[in-house]
Amino acid sequence: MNGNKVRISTSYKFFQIINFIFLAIVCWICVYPFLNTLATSLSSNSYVLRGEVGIFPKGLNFEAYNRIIKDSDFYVGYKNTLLYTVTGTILSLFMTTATAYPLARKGLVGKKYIMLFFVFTMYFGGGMIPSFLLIKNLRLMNTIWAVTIPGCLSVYNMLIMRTFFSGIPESLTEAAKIDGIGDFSLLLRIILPLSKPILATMTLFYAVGYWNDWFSALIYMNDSKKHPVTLYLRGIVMGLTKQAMSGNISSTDAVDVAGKTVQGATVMLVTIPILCIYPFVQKYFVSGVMLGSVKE
Amino acid sequence: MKKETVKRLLALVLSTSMLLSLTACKNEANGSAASSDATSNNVVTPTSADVGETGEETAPAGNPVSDEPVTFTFMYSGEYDPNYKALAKMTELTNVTLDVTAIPDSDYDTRNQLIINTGEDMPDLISKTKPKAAQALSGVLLPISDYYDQMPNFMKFIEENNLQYLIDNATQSDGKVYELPINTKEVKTATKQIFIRKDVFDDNNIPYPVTYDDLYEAAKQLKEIYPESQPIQVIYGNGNLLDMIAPSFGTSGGWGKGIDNFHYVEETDEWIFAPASDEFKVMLEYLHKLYAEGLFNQEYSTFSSDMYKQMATTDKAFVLMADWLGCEKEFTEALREAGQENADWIPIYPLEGPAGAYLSRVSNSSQTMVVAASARDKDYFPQLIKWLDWMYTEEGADLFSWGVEGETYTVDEAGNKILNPTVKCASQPEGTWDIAKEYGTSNNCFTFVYPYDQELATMEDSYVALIQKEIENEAFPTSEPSIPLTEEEVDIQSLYSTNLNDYIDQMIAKFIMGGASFSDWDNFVTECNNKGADKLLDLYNNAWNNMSR
Amino acid sequence: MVNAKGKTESSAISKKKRREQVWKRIMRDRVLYFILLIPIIYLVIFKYVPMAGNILAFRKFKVGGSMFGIKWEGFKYFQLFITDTYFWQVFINTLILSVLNLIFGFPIPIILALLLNEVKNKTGKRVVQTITYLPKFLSTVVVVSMLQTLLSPSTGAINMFLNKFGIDSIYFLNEISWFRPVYIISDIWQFMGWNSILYLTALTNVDPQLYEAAAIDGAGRWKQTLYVTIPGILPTIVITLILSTGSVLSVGFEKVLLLYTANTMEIADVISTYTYRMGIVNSQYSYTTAVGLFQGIINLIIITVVNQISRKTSETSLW
Repeated sequence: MNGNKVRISTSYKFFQIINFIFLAIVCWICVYPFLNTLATSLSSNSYVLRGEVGIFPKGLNFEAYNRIIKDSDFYVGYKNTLLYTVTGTILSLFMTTATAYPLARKGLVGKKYIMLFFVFTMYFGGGMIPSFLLIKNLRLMNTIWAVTIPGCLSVYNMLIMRTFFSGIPESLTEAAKIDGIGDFSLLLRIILPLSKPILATMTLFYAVGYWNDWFSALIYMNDSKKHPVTLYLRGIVMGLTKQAMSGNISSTDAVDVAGKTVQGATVMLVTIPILCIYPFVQKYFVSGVMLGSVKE
Repeated sequence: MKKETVKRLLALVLSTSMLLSLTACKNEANGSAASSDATSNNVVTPTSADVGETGEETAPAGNPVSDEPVTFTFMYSGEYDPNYKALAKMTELTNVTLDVTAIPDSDYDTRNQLIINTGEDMPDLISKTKPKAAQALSGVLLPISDYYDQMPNFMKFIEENNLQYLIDNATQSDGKVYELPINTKEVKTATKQIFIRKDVFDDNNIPYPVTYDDLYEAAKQLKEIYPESQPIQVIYGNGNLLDMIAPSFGTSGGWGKGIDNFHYVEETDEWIFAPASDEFKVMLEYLHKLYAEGLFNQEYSTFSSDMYKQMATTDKAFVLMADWLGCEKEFTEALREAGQENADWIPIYPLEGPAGAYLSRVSNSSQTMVVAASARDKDYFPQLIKWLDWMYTEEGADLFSWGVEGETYTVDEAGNKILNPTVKCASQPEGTWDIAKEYGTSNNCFTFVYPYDQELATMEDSYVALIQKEIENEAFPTSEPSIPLTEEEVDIQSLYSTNLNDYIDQMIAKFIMGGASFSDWDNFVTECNNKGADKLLDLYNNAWNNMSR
Repeated sequence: MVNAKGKTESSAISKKKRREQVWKRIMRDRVLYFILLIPIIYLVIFKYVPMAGNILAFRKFKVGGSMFGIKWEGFKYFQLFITDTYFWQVFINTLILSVLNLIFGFPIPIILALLLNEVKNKTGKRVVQTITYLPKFLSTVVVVSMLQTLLSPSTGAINMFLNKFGIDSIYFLNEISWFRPVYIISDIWQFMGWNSILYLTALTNVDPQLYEAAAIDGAGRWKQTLYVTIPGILPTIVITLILSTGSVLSVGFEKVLLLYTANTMEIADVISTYTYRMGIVNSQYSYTTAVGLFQGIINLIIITVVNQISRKTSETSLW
């Protein structure tokens, strides 16, 4: 953003005020449910049942959190989630860059077909069972690789990244080539440092993806000690919703359903950490990244 | 990753059954793969008391199940603790250890369907699973009925408690049974009841309703006194509601409906199409009356359980049509904390409809489990059968319900079991520790039998009288039987089933809420037939009559 | 040369020249191909091999039988749904919902990103960014539950608000005419923050010098936005748009499943929910695979067409 050198007109000042109000409203409607959830998780059950909890807790207590924190499965799950997320994100960054970078090169022979080869997989998949059999036959069942490798390349993300690489001026590549720098070094030493925003975005996208993925573990991990915390907590939050829909509730189930306070606590515990990634990543969203590197 | 998740969900939906291994022959491959897998560290030498020799209980002086330590793989649903004391005791008594894969309740179906449909890597025992006809007949599941002669305790349990119907209903079209009942109650009871606000009824001198007509009158009065209220509430919508009231109207509906909305009439030993019957119409007319006068939950088709609970804890609801015993306690507590000291939700005796006073249809066994066919090839298979049988003995049953003698219960001179007074449960709210959490009792997966005496012992006193009265008066109708279908029959069924059921659900909602008029009833019936109701009627009656029973 | 022989000769020569040129380019870029090798291997193993399972759409499925089905059935399963009038109704529902979602939902994150871009205060900007992407982390179950509470005719906040102005309560979730707006608006609310991240990243790529140049030319902020900002992020917009059209038939599953009621089903039912009911209830897995193939093919056709259009009209396209 420019700022200093441009004179700011009064109509623009007015717009900024409106903008501020508008964004404030947007923020409010986005954050309210979380404030409410947080308050619910800290309130006593009776108030919650009566619907009297707004954004402040009533009957403050930590029972809901206690119940979860006392459970060793929670910590094991958290550890797993962290491990899978970090491993998966690194793997994904590598894979996605390795695909996006070559495909962004103008004049690459066969690019169109290679692109199609990748895009095609977005529309046709084998489905759960062939994938399951594949992982099993590759002997990856119950390992970290079963939850990180199958999804490590999102073609969607790759296309986004490729768009960014395409936006880097050709003159840069040409200049480097003239200097005798090979493609690989070009990628590592010049392109990547210039691509911090897109790398940050990809990190965010993938990290969130891996963090939220409970499905892979459900299918591939036999050992519940390897389940990510999201799967564990989904069990608590969803509880018997699906059974309730089909009537498959036995009498012991019904009384055991986790109350809203516990559900709220689980939402908080699983969501807050991943939210913290964004501020980290935000500092890479700096403009002027291209400034000074190329003189048009 | 958004696309990835969407695609995955889609894949889950669309391809919930691609199949077996990438090699051609699967069953053999399964067998050898299974035993070469290091999933069970079993040391098995068949004991001298080999199963099936005499057909009687071949319990030697040694272990009732296995002389050597043995491990079975077990797929489990819900929260699990490997340190359950009852499990330890079981190992002590039987030398059996379970290698448990615990999957959360919420997604258990996804996992177990995947395992069964691929037939790959099946654990020996898969809990909380009802096999579909196609799965049972495919050979991936063990036909338990072939081994009934080796399970004398199980057969005795069935006979003593008149549970033969469970076996009959579980019989597939090839005459065999592929599942075992778990969570089996010796005496058929259900904890889903009707509740009223005792204090509100008392304060306003409204008599507790005995019939459904009484309910209507009472609700009208309540609505006048509390205009903001919607006196009658139900949670989980139509499924739960119809499940509850249909038997009293002489039919079935909602969760309790028979296959594809067909109802079995015992007197004539035939199946009829329930929605077309007069009884069903009368029931819908009654509900419509309630709804139209604002006496009944106006939004029940989209009611979240949050809203339901809110209504129950503020003065907006006074009758809960179908909730589980114990659930109303937190409502009472919430009301009292808000200042209404006399608030009291109590269960009442089921209301009487045209066909009698009944609660929802129940089966003695609310869950079933299956055994993998691949277990047959394992060395420890005889022990597996013995263990399954042992779980139905008094010893096995008590272990996972009462717990461990001397620790969680004691036995008096008359032979009655007394629950340890420090155990916390509904009947002993001052208790300090949770037996289910520590011992793994009253468990959806390990508890094969629910002894009646244990149920009474843990139940709150005020409920015991009610339940006993209901048992006396046979207020628990049996659930609809199931009809095993052959492959060809399943093909025909699937042509009509979804569309017909969707249509019925839509029309039920419309009739109740007033979107359709009862003068159009004949059109409704005709349209059901257009959607295949009559063809299904023939199909089911034929299949029923052909059943080897 | 004009005569026939000459023509062949020169085209033969130029063919050879072209091939040589192509080979030269391949060699020049050989490192790139090498880099591409690993992703391609990954793709073949983890995406293309399982795809073989789709053959089940043409063969009869049997539990415990081969993954490839046990008997060839040809187009039987395709016929099943192509001749099913209800299927086409569901198909139209899906299309309409997706297209509406696209029309209304697509521009919002862009606008949000542009508005955010105008916020000078760095901390404020970061705070707003973080807050707006919070709702994405709520599970569908939770969102639907919130909607039910919010839109309840008797106690929901929206209706209470309407009542104050003398408007009768509307049973939003049970009305056919409200299903789509509720679905789309809640989608917008839930994802606008998250979806705007992409555009915010794109905005960082716009050269600040262009703004200065424009300002010097006398352009106010609005004109700057029109002539500098938007063209700057246009490639991202176009790519995202093309990609969105490619999932038109796959819209919502869990959310629709939880939101629809018996009353709204006739317009709310989409392909994925219908197939779910058919597949689960009836175990017609060959059928569901066939539907999946059908969806994939149609989606692919749509995205190809859109891509072609984009290629002709703008410089950006997927391929």
